[in-house]
Amino acid sequence: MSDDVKLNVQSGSGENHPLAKLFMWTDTPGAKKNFIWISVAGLIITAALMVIYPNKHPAPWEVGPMKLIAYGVIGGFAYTFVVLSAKPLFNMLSRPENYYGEGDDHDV
Amino acid sequence: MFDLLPHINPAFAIIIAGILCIFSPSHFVRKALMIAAPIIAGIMIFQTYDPNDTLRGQFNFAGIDFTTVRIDRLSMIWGYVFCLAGLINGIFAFHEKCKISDSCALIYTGAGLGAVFAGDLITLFMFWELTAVSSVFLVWRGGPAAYAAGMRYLGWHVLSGVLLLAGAIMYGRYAGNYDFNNIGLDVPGGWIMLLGIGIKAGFPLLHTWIQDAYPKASVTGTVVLATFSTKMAIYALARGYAGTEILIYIGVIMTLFPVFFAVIENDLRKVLAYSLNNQLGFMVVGVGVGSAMALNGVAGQVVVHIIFKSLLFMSMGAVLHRIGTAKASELGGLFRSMPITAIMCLIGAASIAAFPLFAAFVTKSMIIASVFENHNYIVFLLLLFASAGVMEHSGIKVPFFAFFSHDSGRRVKEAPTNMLLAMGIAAAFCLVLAWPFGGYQMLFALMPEPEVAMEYIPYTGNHILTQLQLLFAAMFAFALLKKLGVYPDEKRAQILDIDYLWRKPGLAIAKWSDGMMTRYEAYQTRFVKNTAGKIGTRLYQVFSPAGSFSEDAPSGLAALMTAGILALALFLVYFIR
Repeated sequence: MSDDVKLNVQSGSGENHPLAKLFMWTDTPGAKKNFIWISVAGLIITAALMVIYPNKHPAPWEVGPMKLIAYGVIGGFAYTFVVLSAKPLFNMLSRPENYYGEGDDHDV
Repeated sequence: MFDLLPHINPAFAIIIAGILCIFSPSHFVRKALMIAAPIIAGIMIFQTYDPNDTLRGQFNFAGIDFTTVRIDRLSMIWGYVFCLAGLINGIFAFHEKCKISDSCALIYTGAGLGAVFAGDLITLFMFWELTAVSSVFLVWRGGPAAYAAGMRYLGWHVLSGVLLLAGAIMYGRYAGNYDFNNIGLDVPGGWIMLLGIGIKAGFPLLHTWIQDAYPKASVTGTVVLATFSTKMAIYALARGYAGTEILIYIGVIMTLFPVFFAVIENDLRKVLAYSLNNQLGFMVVGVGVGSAMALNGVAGQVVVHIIFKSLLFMSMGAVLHRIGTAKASELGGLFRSMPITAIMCLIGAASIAAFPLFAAFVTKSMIIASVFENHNYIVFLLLLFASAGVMEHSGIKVPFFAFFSHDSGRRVKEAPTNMLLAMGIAAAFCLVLAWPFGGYQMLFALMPEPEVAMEYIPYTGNHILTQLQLLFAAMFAFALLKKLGVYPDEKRAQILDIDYLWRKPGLAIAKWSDGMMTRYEAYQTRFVKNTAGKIGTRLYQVFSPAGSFSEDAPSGLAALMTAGILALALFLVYFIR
């Protein structure tokens, strides 16, 4: 760890920053539980509005109902694929932290 | 005196400031130089730019025509954003009391600026190498663990420069000059130069120095490093290889593979380093397409990417500065202590994910749209895939695991004021440059082809909806996978990349070869010593006064025989030759 990190690791007063209240709602069980519905609502609204604002230059796969939801399908599939690939990739590529024996990156 | 100013590369204003920093004992003088020098360079660019006279500082030396200053529309936008980044970096590093960091950061900034204003390949090479030599000290400032990474970093960058020079010489012999214009792959040296530039641009398999060195550098060093080298390489590609088709496919691979590494990486600065690689991929694709809109998109993406990636690195730097680690497994709930940094990180995340009203929404879509216009639908689809990946690693993972997620219980002070100010400036640019009413138009006015850029309207109902739908779908997938318990936990580990090949088997082979050479040299020394000893002993036994030749005949006869043999040898040499 470099000197500038060592010197500046500081403990606060133990209390929250006054501006932290801006985000406190994110820590409530309701917000955690209902976060998914915000994205569902966003998907429904964007798909519905696509009727009013159709793609003037559709890609070849934007046919039928895909005209309305193609980007959602691509985004959802891509995200899920990437996240689901994490477990086998991690098993295949992970090694102990000091595997190369050069010391670790910045750390506590 | 003042007539000469337009002929001086603005980079020298920053490089000289960097040299002065080495000798300045005063912290405040150094910091004043760090802030003032990029502003002065920016003013020099503004004063020097003349659309009718873009080539300056020309002279002939050793038979080579040098053009040390070229400020045209392509280089100008790079120049301005480098100056802005230099200024932001100076403010971010205001607290740091280190002569080496200050001077190297300035020299590195100046070298980057000098490279984009180079009008010939030799000048480009000199600034190219200066970026390597000056920036490696920023890596080494990361501490002992960064030493080996710094050496590898230096090796890659010197190799990049050597390839650039080799290609330039081949090209120069063919073309009869070293002018740095469109090069392409059909000329001698074209491929070699592309390889050299590709190292700095983070081409697949040549990319590992980014993820190796950047996360190991100091808090401020990483922010500085993330700005110049790679974007300088993108400039070199845009200048020399615009419309080279293979770059489309190289770029697509660059957008895709980092996504899979970023999702399993625990160190959030390394996640951002992979994210950097991914964003470079979009730019390389744009260069490969090569149309006016694509190159405008590349230039615009370089500008906003420098700003939002700096912002993200600064926010993680602030976390590292206060907490002492940037590992996701050790963080969480930091919005309680560092809410302003959290807001800045969220702005950076929204910008890189290309949410409407945030930076990349305008510029990235120009690149993707140019691919679509080319009817390259597979590439278009893969870029959409990569965009969802960006949302995963930089849009969600970095802010979520650092500032939200489970509460790690750490309570620290908010980032220092200078860091917050630097992040605030970057965040403001992220918003202003995407603002639909006069904001993005400022960026368009700086682009290489402003008339073409102004024809592109990013805020159409359809574009907003499609982009939002893609991002909402990614958010939905994140929430669902979290709910199902499928989203992977962050675990401490070393993730292997292709550099495993030279850091493990390659190193083992090198060590084995070294051991073998040592043994061989020892054997060789022993062999020579023994053989020479034996020959000497034998000669002594034959020719010495006590030797066998002297046993039955007087030494005078031996001398006569030796003289006779010498005479015979001379005779033969004289007549046979």
